[in-house]
Amino acid sequence: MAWSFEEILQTVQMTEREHFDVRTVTLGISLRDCASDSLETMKRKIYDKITRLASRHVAAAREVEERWGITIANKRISITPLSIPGEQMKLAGFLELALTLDKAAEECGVDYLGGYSALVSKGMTPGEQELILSIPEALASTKHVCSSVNIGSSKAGINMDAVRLMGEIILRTAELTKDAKSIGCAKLVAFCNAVEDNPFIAGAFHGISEPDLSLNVGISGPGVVLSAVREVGQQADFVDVAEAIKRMAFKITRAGEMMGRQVAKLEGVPFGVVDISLAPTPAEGDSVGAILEAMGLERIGAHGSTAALALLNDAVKKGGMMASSYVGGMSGAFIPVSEDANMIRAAAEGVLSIEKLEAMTCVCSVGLDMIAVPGDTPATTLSAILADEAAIGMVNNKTTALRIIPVHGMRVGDVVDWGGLLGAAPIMPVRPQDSSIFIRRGGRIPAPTTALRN
Amino acid sequence: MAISEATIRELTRKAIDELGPLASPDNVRQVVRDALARMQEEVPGLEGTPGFSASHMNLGSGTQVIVTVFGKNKSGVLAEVARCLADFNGNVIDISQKILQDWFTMILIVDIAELTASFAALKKALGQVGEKLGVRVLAQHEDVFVSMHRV
Repeated sequence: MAWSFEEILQTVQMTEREHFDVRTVTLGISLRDCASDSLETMKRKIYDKITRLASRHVAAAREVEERWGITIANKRISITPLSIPGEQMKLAGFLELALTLDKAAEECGVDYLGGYSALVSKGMTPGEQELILSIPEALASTKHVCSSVNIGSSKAGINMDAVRLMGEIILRTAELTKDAKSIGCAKLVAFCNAVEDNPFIAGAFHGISEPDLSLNVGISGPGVVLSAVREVGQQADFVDVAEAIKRMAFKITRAGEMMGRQVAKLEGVPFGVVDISLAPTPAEGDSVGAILEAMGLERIGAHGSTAALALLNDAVKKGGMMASSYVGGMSGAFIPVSEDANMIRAAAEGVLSIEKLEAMTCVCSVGLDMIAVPGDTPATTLSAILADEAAIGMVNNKTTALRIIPVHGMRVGDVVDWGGLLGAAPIMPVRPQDSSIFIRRGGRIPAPTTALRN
Repeated sequence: MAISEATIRELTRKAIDELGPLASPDNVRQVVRDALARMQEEVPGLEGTPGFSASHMNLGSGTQVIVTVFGKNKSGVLAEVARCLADFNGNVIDISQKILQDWFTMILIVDIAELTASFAALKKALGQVGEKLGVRVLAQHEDVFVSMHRV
């Protein structure tokens, strides 16, 4: 037999017990050829292009799932940041385009479509400003559309006008979707150093240097890595822990790439990258927090958590890079509080604070993700949290992001439950001190010296 | 070892010559298949193991699937699964089973090149056999195992 009994059983155990799956296959579609000064023309072109190219996306992914026996949890679409083809639109026009995107996503059978976005790290064009101002209403009036705004980069510095605006946009989105527990904010990400080939929602968009079409894949979640760490036991030293994670990362990256390539082949689309971020789900055991706890921390958030996360992610990268030549996207650690059972527990117990989460983004976390804060948090405080996150990304040449939900009408001690993949989160306290004078200065924080690399 | 199309053509011609009047399409296919299997066995080292030659960049062309059955040990599992595979004309190439503390685990390698229905239909039928017997039956294309377990 070409396969050892143990090899086959390990794979079967991974798929059957440890949530081994492919997290997402995301079809990136360029909408640059859909630009027009006529709203009706743009609507028609966008709807036609997306439905023409993506109508087979879900069916192709299902076919691959069936044949290879591994679940593909999410099938999604990303598009060119809409502000680029939509440069000539006004706010009302963008809102209509949001509805068009929603309809196209519905028609293709995908749950989310990312790319209601603007890239404004150095400054805003009129079209980008109109799009950003339309975000709250666009997210409130659609079901599938996700939005992201890149407000800074290591090259350009941080656009503090955009940072100030985003604080207000986040708060307004929370208000407009208050009947659904401010869920609109779960579909909105602010980035520093956003990547162009990220397959993960809500921050996915199809970058401007991408081809007309490309298919990117996100690998399986933390469940399989958790069982590898548990297996080495509490007495093993760090090199054994790292080694176990690397081996597992190799396997899940290989499987992820293989599945992604098959979907791409069926759709006749060029394969892009494998994103090796470990994305948790609220399912028991499918948790990044649980991996850190398995390494020997009583709770995620305890002292040592930053070091543990650094080790985890470095080992995942090393295993993943050996497995695939096209590792890309975010390829960092996702630590979305509401989507990870162990993080929810740690946050509810007060062990996990925003400050500790911020520290983790210094090593490899891609940001403060799915954090619920009181609904009466001032916009300038939200902006200040974003500025801190962006500064970490800018200085360390890495992606950082903020997906924060000021849940309307809720305060510290309450728990918001969105259900499904978005999970539940305790409302975390933010510092009550005022940052408004700092935020209202406006202008751009200059890029650090590390931006000058030539 | 990668076997080129030219080699297969050459083997086929030889088989037809040797079989003479007995050369029916089925006979020729069987002789060529046996010869190919022998060629693979003769090559020592990793190159000889099926699966190794399939680069992970170029998967999806193989015709082998791996069927895994596990559950409480009881009589008739092998028979029922084998019958189901035979109904669909799946060709069992290799089989291995173990009983660990009353848990039955069986792995079959099956060639589906000449399946009489779709792979999806076979999977469904195997699932139904599993349900009837109270065991889990999984069928996965071998590429999954190639990509995960071979560098």
